[in-house]
Amino acid sequence: MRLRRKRAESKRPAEPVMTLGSTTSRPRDADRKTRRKLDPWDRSKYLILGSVLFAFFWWQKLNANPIKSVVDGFWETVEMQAWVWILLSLEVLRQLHFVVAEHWSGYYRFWKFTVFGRVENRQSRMDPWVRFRIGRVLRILFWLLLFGVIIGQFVDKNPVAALIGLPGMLNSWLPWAARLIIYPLLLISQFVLLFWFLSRGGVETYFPDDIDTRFDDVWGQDPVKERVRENLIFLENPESIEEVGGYAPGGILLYGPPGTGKTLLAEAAAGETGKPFVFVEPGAFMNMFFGVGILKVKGLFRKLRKLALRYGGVVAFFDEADALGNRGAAVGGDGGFRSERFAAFLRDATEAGSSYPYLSPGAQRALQEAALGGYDRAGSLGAYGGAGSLGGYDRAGSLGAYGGDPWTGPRRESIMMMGGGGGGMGTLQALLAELSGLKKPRGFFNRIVRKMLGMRPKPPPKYRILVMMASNLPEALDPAMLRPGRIDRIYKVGYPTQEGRKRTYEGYLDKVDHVLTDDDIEKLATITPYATGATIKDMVNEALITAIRDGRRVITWADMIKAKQLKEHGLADDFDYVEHERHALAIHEACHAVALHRVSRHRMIDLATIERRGTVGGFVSHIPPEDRFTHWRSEYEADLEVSLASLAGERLFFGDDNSSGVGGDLRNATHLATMMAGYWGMGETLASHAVQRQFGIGGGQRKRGEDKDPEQELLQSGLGDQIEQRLTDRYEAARCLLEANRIEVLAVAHALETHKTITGEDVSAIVDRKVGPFLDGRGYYMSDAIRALEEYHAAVLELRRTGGMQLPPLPKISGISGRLVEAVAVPAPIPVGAGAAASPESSSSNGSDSSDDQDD
Amino acid sequence: MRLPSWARVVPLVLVAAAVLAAGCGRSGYEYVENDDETVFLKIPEDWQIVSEGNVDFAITPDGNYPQILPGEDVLAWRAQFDAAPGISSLDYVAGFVEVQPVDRRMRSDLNLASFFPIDATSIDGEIEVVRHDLITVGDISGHRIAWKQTTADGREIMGDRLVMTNSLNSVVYTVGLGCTVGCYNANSAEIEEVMRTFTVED
Repeated sequence: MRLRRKRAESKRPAEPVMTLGSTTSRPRDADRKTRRKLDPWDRSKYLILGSVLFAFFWWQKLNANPIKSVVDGFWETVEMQAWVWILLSLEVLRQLHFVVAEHWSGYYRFWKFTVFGRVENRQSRMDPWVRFRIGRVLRILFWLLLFGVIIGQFVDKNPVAALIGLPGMLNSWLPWAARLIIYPLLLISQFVLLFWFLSRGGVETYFPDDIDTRFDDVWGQDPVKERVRENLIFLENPESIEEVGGYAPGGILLYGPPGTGKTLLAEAAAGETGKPFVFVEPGAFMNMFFGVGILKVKGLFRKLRKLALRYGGVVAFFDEADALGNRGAAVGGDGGFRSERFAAFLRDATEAGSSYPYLSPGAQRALQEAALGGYDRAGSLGAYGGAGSLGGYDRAGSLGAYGGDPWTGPRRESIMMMGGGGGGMGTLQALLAELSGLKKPRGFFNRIVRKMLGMRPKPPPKYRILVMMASNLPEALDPAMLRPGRIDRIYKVGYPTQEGRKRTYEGYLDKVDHVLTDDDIEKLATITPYATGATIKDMVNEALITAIRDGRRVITWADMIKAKQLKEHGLADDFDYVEHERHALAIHEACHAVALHRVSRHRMIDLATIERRGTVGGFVSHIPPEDRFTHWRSEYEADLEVSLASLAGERLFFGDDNSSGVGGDLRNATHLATMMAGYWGMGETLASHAVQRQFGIGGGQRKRGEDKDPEQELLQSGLGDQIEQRLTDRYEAARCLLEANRIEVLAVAHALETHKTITGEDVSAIVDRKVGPFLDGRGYYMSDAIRALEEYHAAVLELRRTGGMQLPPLPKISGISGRLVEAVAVPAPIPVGAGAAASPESSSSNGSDSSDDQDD
Repeated sequence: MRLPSWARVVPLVLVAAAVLAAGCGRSGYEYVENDDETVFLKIPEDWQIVSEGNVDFAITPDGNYPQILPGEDVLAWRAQFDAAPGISSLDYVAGFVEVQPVDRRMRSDLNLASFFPIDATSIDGEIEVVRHDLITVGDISGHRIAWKQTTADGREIMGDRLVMTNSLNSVVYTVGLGCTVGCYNANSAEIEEVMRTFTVED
């Protein structure tokens, strides 16, 4: 017996075993002579399961009857749970079949080819659809049978009789079943009610007569207005474009800085069309529970479709659309940020003035990869576009003072903080699907009844829905939302041009009484370069409040200037300097002002003041005379000279001494010089420090685990010497300039000490020895006046040297207009509108800018 | 994959147990049981269970439905069995087992003696008590009385009855067996086994 088994094993083909170095493969199933051996678990698992099941029933019998013997329990289980035995027996047979097939190739081949092979052949000849239907019928029969068996057990009938009697049984169980169902129904209805309640709100509908706003009410945004009007024509008369093969744009995105009139434009669009206007609040899709946002979106679009059908069109306006979020940001990681970053890269790369389009495809791809991998703050393709582009704005808010679009900086910083947002939890996806989803047939009758009758469902009608979105964070929007088909047209609603600002001023001033001439209004538009519709409206209103406070109803030029100063720079502190400190501060600011007037042709002085505001002792603010796009090295060098003029002037006028108040100026100058040398190609070397940092070349890259400041490392490299040399050069230039303009500095300082705040035009008048709007500059250059100014300055120097406290009174200089004091001095504290911060575009050269600096 | 030892042993043990059980065969008894009232009784397998089920009688003073207390849902139940292979006869053991709820008005003066025919004047002939045992099993207690009686036609028969009640006197459990004296003596071991296995589980 043992010998025979050995012989049989030797006949069985050995299955090759994969070893190192072997080239034989494991045989395919078709190549096997015998069945693959089952592992012990597969061989015994069903037997174990059946045995456990039998043991359970056995135990149950014994447990139910305490006098029942184990043997009687066993036989009773055998009799009553015969199906377990049947299944166990079948499984034993199956395993025996497998065991034989594993050892006897003839038996294996018989089953494989003769039995199963024929069945498979027959099946393969069958139409797949017929096979599927037969399978479906068999599945239904199986489940019916199983259900019948279970029901039959309960009612003690055979399965077929149980199924036949089921309707009657259901009828008799109806009251009980209804009771059973009512509790889940109550629970479900609570949820339905809750979700219905939560999915309300956030959407307001205005009908045509509710909206009075027209395009005439929107000023300063004429190009965008025209484009929006064009879209409305297509909304009103879509056939005009559809008949020639096009389609009416269905989505518009208006983006731009806050207050530029995006919402007003949308409102005007609704007023012009005479269609309903559905206003969707930014928080409409914020929701506590999963699914509520989706319900809201579906509800909103159901409403839009209804309105579109009834009125022939509808305008849906999503205010602050960035609240809808971004799927990339929502899933975490920096996927979203990467996409935003890449979007920002593409936008900068395609900006006018960028060199990107001129690069070869390979170079463009490398830059794209860099943008995805490490397009950091200084990856400055748009450096040509000015300081406000990607080059370093985020670490240097003060750079906004020197140029570029100040909106770019805060906007990009906001992107860094932008998260998934409230449009998460499927809401955004639902919105995307509704904006441009499958155009599926709608309605129960259309989809179900028509289909039952064998009719094709009707396609949906063309819903004329114009979706308008407004955002000041367009990069935070999901890219899928901005694709054509959803948002077809994207318009920037930027700062109004000078002409636009003038028109806006005229519009708001027309609503009040004023004595401003056209020249005055034009001048206002010039000295408020980044004013928006909202800020202009606010400024006019502030001027009106000032006039009313003075008992007037008519706005004057002085009221407008006061309002501008208040809104841009805030209220001055009620603070009196010690006299010699006041003089030093006036000299400091006068040096800035004179230098700015003399060397900086790209900026004009807005005002100069020595009135303290918070930690800022005084400042000279300046504005661009015209809308600028590019900035030049010569301009930045002039800026450096203006910044360093305070240090040069203090040392010139106070015997090589200087105050700590120049700290802020030095910081700004150093930063600007660093950017010039390292990022903007305005130094002695050409390599961009941004790229060097990215690739770890040269100084300035942070190494893993090191806390060393890369900028410090940078300054210690050759770049640091360049920066120091440039600063030294500009300092010497500033000193020479101030030596040549000594009396001009003393004259401006005197005007500041006398009036605390003077306008830029008056600074120019003093320096150029002309008549200004409020001051006559010629009076300062008479011999008596010059002598008085020098004597007063000498007295201050003597006081500082001896430590005395008594100064002679400020000399009276003839020729100063008395109108100045009332006209430009910031008004006494008022109860409303106080404390507005200085606008970023009107930057300042601070004298003693912070208490920290003074403590240095 | 190598199976844990228990996984290989369990089927073997079960198969072995099955084979062993098959070898031993049945015990020779069948079971009369009421799962709802947890009443169990073992009778020889050649006896027949004649009838078994809920019945409409209870121990009440007025013959109406018994008044019971909340929580008591005992249903009257009876099973009858007979050793006769065909028509019932005094020469074969016959018996019954009963569960009867007791009306709450009768519980305070429930007399188990009334469940025995030993003082019944209605029965014709003489009665001789041959056995009287007091039986207590947990919460259940009662009497087992066996008596000899001569019927009108002069035949001597034996009756053996076990009547028990719970501590509340809310349920009466009765097992009764009887046949001729000769039959009783011939089957005394089986009758004793039946009486012994009567179980009421708490």
